[in-house]
Amino acid sequence: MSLRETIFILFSLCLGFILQYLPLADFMSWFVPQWVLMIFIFWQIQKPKLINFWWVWPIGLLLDVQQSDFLGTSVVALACVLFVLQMMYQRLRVFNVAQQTLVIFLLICSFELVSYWALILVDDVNKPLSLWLPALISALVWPWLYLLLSSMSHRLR
Amino acid sequence: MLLVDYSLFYLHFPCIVAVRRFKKDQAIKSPVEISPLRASRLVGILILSLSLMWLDSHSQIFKPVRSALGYVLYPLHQISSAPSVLIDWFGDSAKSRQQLIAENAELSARNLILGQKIQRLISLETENSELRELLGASDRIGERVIVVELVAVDPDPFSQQIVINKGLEDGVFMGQPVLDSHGLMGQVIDVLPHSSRVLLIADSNHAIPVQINRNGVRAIAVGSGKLNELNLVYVPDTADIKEGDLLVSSGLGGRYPRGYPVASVATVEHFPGKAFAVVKAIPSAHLDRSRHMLLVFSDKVSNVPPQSLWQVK
Repeated sequence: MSLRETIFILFSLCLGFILQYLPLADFMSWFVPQWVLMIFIFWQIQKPKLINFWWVWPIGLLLDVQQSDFLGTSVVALACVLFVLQMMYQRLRVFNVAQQTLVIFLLICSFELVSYWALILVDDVNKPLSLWLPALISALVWPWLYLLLSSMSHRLR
Repeated sequence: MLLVDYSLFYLHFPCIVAVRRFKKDQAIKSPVEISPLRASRLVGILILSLSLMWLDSHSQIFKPVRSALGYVLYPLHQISSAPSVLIDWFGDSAKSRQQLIAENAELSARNLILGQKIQRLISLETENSELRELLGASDRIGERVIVVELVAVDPDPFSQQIVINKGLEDGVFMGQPVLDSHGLMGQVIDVLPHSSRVLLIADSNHAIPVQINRNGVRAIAVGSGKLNELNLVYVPDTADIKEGDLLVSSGLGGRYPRGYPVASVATVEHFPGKAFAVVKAIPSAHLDRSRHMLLVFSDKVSNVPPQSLWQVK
């Protein structure tokens, strides 16, 4: 059972990478939720036994190559998000949709902020911080993603 | 009788609520025992990844790792660009015969005009090289190009970058100039096995040395962050520059080849009391519309010079 679930988790993460790279029309260019991060958070909430901190490395490095940041930027941020999540995932499960959405918003904000701090720490970049928009769009998408993935994982069981 | 019925209903009502509450409580699962990420481990990961970032920003030793991860991402990118490829194919195959005939006629007419221009170009090139020989200057070296296609546009609103469909395996290198049929577009800044990332000339982190085609006055065109605007910096107030002047690449930085159109001057403003004029230009290349681009291979344009030469520290 665990093997099937692991394969399903890997499959959904691949789907996240595909969605994150999807070429969009100009008027939709602001619509870029952090798909991979949200799927990672979902599996951390649902199946905390399967996701441990080793997952942070491949996912983070792939995200960095995709966005052509320095290798390791997303790893730093993902590790911080994972640390916070592991303290509160049991509470997150019983939250209702609005509360969950708010927590996801804050988590993705902190992801963006931590990776920005890491970039500044390593090399002085003068790129403005796009913090609000990805977090807001992701939080809006979260309820639907949660419903979809949880129904699929229930069917898998 | 009626009264009794109502009372029964009211008696049942709290029960229903209680049952609902009970169901909601049951949804809470028993806590799962996991070994949480300990703070010491988190600090270990942070130190490791920060040092990885530092190494990656200061040396090239992780280039193979990057290209290996690029191979992993390649099939995913292919899948994600499938819809747009499919739409393009469908659009092409659904064109009517009339449209195709009209397009064919237009293309052959343009081909004729271009062929005639090339005939003149050959004679002009030989004449040019003869004159250069007379002057004792070195000959201009011929340039080889490959056609590339746009795959994705970076969604980050603060950077103007695009992704093209040729990479390391096609010989693309860092710093390679990219142009479309109207002018210079930008340069390659990251190379993966089958794709590479291009920084457009309109990005606010990009600058290109240019000169005015009419009289050869040199300037530097800095991206404004908007796709349809470049700023010319450090243009003296007295310099001979007018609206409509064509700016071509001067080749002085050693990065771009000489003589390709970059932009045309849109506005020139003089402020009394300031040393420099405020000049704005519109890029010649269709930065927001071109789907097909050319990558230039020329001997003048080489790989990026070693960092010790251009890093200011």
